[in-house]
Amino acid sequence: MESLDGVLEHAPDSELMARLTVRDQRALVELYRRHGRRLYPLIRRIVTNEGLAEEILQDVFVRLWTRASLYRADEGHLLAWLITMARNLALDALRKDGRWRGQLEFEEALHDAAQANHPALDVDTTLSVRHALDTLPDDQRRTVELAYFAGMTHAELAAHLNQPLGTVKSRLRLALDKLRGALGNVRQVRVAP
Amino acid sequence: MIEPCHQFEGEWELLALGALEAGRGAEMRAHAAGGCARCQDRLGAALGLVGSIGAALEPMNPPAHVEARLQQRLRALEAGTTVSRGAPAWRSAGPSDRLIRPAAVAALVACAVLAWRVVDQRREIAALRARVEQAAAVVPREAPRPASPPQALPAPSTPAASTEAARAWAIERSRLAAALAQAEAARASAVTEAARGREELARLEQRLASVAREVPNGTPPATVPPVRVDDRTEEVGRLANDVRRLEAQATREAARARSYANALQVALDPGSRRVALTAVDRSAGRATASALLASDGRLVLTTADLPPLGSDKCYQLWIIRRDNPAVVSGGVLADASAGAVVHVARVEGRADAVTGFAITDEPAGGSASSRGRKLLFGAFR
Repeated sequence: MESLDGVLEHAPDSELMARLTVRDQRALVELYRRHGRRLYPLIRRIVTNEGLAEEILQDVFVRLWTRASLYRADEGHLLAWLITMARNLALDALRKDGRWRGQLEFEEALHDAAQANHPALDVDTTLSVRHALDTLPDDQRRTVELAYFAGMTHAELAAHLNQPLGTVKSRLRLALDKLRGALGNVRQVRVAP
Repeated sequence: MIEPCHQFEGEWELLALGALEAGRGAEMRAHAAGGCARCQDRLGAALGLVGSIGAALEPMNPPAHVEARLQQRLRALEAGTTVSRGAPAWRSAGPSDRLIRPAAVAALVACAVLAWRVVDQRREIAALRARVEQAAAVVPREAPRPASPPQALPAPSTPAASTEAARAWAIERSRLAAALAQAEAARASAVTEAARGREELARLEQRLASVAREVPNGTPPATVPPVRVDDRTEEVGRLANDVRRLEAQATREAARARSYANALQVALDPGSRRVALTAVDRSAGRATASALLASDGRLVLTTADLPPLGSDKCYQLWIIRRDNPAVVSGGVLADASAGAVVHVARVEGRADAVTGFAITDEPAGGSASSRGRKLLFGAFR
């Protein structure tokens, strides 16, 4: 295994993505080394099986390789897309009902518009969201975790938690409101002089 | 028919989450795909918000072999792009060649062995790098956060088990125990990996030195890739830095684990009292604090979200007592702005005389008596 050119280690995501379009495999490997450790725990959390998680992690980067031109590579935005892709592929493997493959293809089809408003997933954002999740009331956190990591619909959540549909919808909305607030605080801090 | 946009307000995040039923989801997808720019914007923001949940997980390095598998898959996809090296052009044997050729073969063999040994070193260094990164990933970059409380809460020990306060107390105890276990595991793992890394680095350095001594004089034949032992020595140096960093993290985690161990001991003391400190000044922002005071005077103060201060100021804890003097310093809070922090101290005098706590901002180094703004305050009931 050759070690990577030292230049690639310091290249921004946008430059590495540009190299993908000219079929530079080293650039993809550098992207894997840079972002794989963010995607792997997510995939493991969803599918739990280690071997399957390893395969899905590779699938994410193979898909990135074959669809490099689809992704806008502003700093922080590529990671957001990779996380979305990883979640969709993992849930597709978990649920096997075609719904998540459809979600992935829909999001790719709207890539230009959908990527425009992705927040940059930098350290501030990550810590802020993590804190917001940790401080959610237990019922809200459990509901949003089941929706996110198990891909449950409202009806499935209501059945699983043995709660009325309205209660489940309300908990999800409240949890998402708090997360939105946490992201909004990060943006405000950045904007303030 | 295009649905009016307002009907989808508040549901884009649910769509991104995948929580909507199939019919509603299909309606919204069709609307967004139909070219409504406003709703596409909403969708983009929703995908970003939902994606941030996945991004909030602690990073974890995948096993080292996954990268090799990925490269194999890429090569299979891009079949036909490998480059072969040319073989040496041997001259036809003449009288003088009978003497030269054996020497040339011997030189080729020596350089091939050397190249193989360097490739072997690279493989070992890459494997060690992966292990160091994996071990570093185990050590949290910030204070360990409590795990989610267990589904079955531990039964509070007080008779007032049905009260909300007792329930919150039980949850906090279990969270402290979880945080302690997490910190201990991270510390132990970091220490073990750092020790292993040191041993392997020492072995690698010895082998590199022996390889360097074997570099033949003169230029190797063009068919063997040029060997630069200096490059590999730099890598070993970088790995040594990684191991040192890991050892420093292990030391910090050990200190953190000791703090949590103290906190847990205080929490388990049946005579412990707990009070929440709340913001009493706007400049405290969203800061909160919680004080656990054991009957023997051990104090565990947990602070969160204290706004950063300039280098000329510090946060200081004050202990309020029924004794004289009524207010005494509990010490300067180190690293108080670094997220959730646990401070461990011991109050002077009788613990049962303590009636409350306050946190103020003071000049750097602290004050003998409080001069700053009172930011957080809490009193025992």
